[in-house]
Amino acid sequence: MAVVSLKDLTKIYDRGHAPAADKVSLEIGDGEFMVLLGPSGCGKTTTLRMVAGLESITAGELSIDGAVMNAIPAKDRDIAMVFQSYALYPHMSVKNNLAFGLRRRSVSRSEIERRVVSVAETLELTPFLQRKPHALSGGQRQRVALGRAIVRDPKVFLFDEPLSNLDAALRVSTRSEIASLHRRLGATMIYVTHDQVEAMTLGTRICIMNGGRVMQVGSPLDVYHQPVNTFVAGFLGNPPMNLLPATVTDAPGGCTLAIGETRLEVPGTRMPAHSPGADLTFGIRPENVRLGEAPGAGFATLAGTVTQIEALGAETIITAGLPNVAAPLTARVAGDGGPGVGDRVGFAVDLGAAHVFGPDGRAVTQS
Amino acid sequence: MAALRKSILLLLLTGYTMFAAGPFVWVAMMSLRTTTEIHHDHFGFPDPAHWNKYPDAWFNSNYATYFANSTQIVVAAVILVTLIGAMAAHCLARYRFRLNRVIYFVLFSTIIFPPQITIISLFQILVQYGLYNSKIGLMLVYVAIQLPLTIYILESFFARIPSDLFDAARMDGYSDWEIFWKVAFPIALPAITTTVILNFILLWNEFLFAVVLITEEANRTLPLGIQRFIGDTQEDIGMIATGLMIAIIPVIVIYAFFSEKLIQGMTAGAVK
Amino acid sequence: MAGAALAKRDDGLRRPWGTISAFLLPALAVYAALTAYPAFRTLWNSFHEVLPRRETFIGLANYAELARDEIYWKAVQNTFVWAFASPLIEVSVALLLALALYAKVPGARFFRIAWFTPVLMSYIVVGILWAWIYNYDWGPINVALRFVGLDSLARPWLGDPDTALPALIFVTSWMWVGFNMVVLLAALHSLPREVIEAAELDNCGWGGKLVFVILPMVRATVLNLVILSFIGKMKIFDLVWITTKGNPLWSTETVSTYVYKRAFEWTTFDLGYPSTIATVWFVIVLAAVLVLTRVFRLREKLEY
Repeated sequence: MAVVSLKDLTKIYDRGHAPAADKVSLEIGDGEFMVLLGPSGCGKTTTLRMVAGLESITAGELSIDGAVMNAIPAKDRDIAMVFQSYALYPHMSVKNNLAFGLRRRSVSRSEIERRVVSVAETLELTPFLQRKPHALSGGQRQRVALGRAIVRDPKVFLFDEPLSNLDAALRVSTRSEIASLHRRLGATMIYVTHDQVEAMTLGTRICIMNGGRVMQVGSPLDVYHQPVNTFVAGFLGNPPMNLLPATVTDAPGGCTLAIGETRLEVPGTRMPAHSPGADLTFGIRPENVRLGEAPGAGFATLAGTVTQIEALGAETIITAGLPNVAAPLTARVAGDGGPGVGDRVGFAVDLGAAHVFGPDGRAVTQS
Repeated sequence: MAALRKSILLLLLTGYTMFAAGPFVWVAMMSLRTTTEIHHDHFGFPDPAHWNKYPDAWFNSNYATYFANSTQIVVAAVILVTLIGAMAAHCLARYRFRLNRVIYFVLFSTIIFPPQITIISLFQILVQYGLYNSKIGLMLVYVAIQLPLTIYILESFFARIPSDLFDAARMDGYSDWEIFWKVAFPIALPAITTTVILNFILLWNEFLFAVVLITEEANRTLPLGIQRFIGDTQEDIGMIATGLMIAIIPVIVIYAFFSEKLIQGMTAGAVK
Repeated sequence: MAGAALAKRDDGLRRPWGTISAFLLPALAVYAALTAYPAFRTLWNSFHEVLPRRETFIGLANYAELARDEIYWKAVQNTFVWAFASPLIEVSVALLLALALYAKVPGARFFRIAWFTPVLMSYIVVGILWAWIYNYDWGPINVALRFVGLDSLARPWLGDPDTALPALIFVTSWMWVGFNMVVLLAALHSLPREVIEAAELDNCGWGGKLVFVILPMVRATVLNLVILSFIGKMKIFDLVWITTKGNPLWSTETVSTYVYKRAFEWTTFDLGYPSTIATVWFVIVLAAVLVLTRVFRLREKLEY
């Protein structure tokens, strides 16, 4: 059981280069499942490796349960890690792979045996204990990698994109396996991924990173519904949120935005008053865009020409170009059918779900 | 047409094979015939086969000593060069540090050195330190001359071991030294076997350093022994043939068991 | 505090110098004691007269003598002939045979193993063997020549100054062609089949395919083999020593045998002069390898 706290954690590989992790501050509660999410190169793996002790900490402070860990070697941090490549020892049997980490700790022989057997039991690896990793399937290897972490009974579990080498079906089942593992063990876990579905389904909280910095930390739905900036807004959700350039038009204290040729009145709850002429970004998720004219107050109509239709069966993704607007508009509508490519259609935008971002990309929406 | 082309091809290949292997067959046959028989017909079949020539050659000369010397020197040198080379190769492949490539290049470039550049001084140095004419002295020199090739082959293998494995072992609580022994070394065993066999054969055949650094009969290695044996037996071709075969056989035996590994080792780096 | 940590070079975990030196130390010690130090000592020797109990500085006298030493230049010439002829013969013959084998042939594995055998033998064994093959009275070559009535061509191959060097070059080729062939075969097999098939579709003849498609793609391998063979022949000693000892009339003298003779056979006891030879030779070999690599790598590497 452990609280992991990162205070301004910074990693610089080469002096003069931009930091790989830049003042990452994060407080991970006891038993929490924290997901570090971001595009490749955003610093999430570097941060994880600093927590693990595989990477030295350039600046800042890492503590576990209040004890500063900066100078403590990896082996003494009582942390286990599951690697993307599994990192199973190819020359050892599954059993020895599981036991290898215990042999270096003061654990008695019989205790090692007991733990290995019980972990193999839970992960359904018992029939494969004598096999070498190369004789296992991808899913089995993944379970051995998990088992190797579990058997250590560490304070903190770290996962570095553990599912990215699996095929789609296995990914789903292993995902739920990890989720149930977290429920059962109640241990603190830090999980790195670039897959937002994994992040949304697994995380107690999500930490979204970009360019070495923390963008936003919060529960999955909070982060989804209240993105603090355009990066988070555009990164989460599939298809991502529409981000349209907009200008404030009316008199001082007004909330009317011009998007291309359309003007729309954003409710004061979604946007504080701005002075006219300010360049903002109007954000709306595809699921808050419908086909057809505005059904009434609280909606606005954006007209555009359909450029792409992706019929997925249960829903259809429609992309349209708006006149004099640099970004396209994407709508996610239920069912199939509807317009064809080249048709000029109107889209009803739910202004109650609108997000508005300032010139610096930060959200100005009041929640 | 296709069949004809194929037969011509096969003929060519068989012809070349006879050319490559013929001399060995010839010696093998002579090794079982007496010199009188050979002088009667140099290309005759061993009939009857005089197997007793092998024990004769073995016991009538110092073959047992040469064999034992070669074995001691070569085995010790191979063990040492493998350990030293593997440690260095692992270090150069795994750790990133500023002089890494410089050290690698310095060690590796020795491969093109002509042996003359060191041999005269090595003679002086070994005399100075009382290692001239000693098995230990020659053994140490053998370690030095095989080190670059060993590091070259092993470094490229170690470099292919994913670094995640080392990180995992580190989190499992193992020190760098233990990681080398318990993770890197066992995983690299195929490559290590290759270098062991390769070094063994190259050193087993080594002549130049042996002839300069060893003069005493009791310390002669096999290639020196053969040279000596020829000197002693003069025109007794049959006996020399037997002596040659005794020297060849260990190599052939190793080759029979490890031909693929050996070919791999010798061609390593040449294919690009 | 953060600033101080930043200022310190960040190499705590990635560069554990203690461990690195522990791993490298044995290799570096062996290298320093038995390769680097002797090499420098040879250089030092070359400016001295080195007698068993006396070393006198004589400046460049050894170098001056070397320039006038006709045997040395004869040895250099022989070695260069060897080092340039051998790669040509070995690699081209090997390439032809490898191409023959490239087409699927039954028993390829057996051939591979058989052809490789000569390289595994020591030059001592090979030398004795070929001294017999070249024997004037009963060597198979002369026997065969007489058998077909070409008695006039029979000769003591290693005893004739005109044929001794070519005869020895032939022996090294016999040893190494198989090796080169196996390597080239591996290189050919790693070529993408489609490229060669595409050339066939382009109505490329056999010769055209070889020159325009296959050779450019195995260039790197050929270069490696040429350099490997070249270096090997620049070092050659054992074979000459066991067969001719540089005779007749220095026609097979190589730099290696000459250094050995001057250092350990001649009764001059001076190690300085042979050290000079070794030093000069070292520079020549190094320069030759560099030039060779340069010449071959002038054109850009091909990507496929």
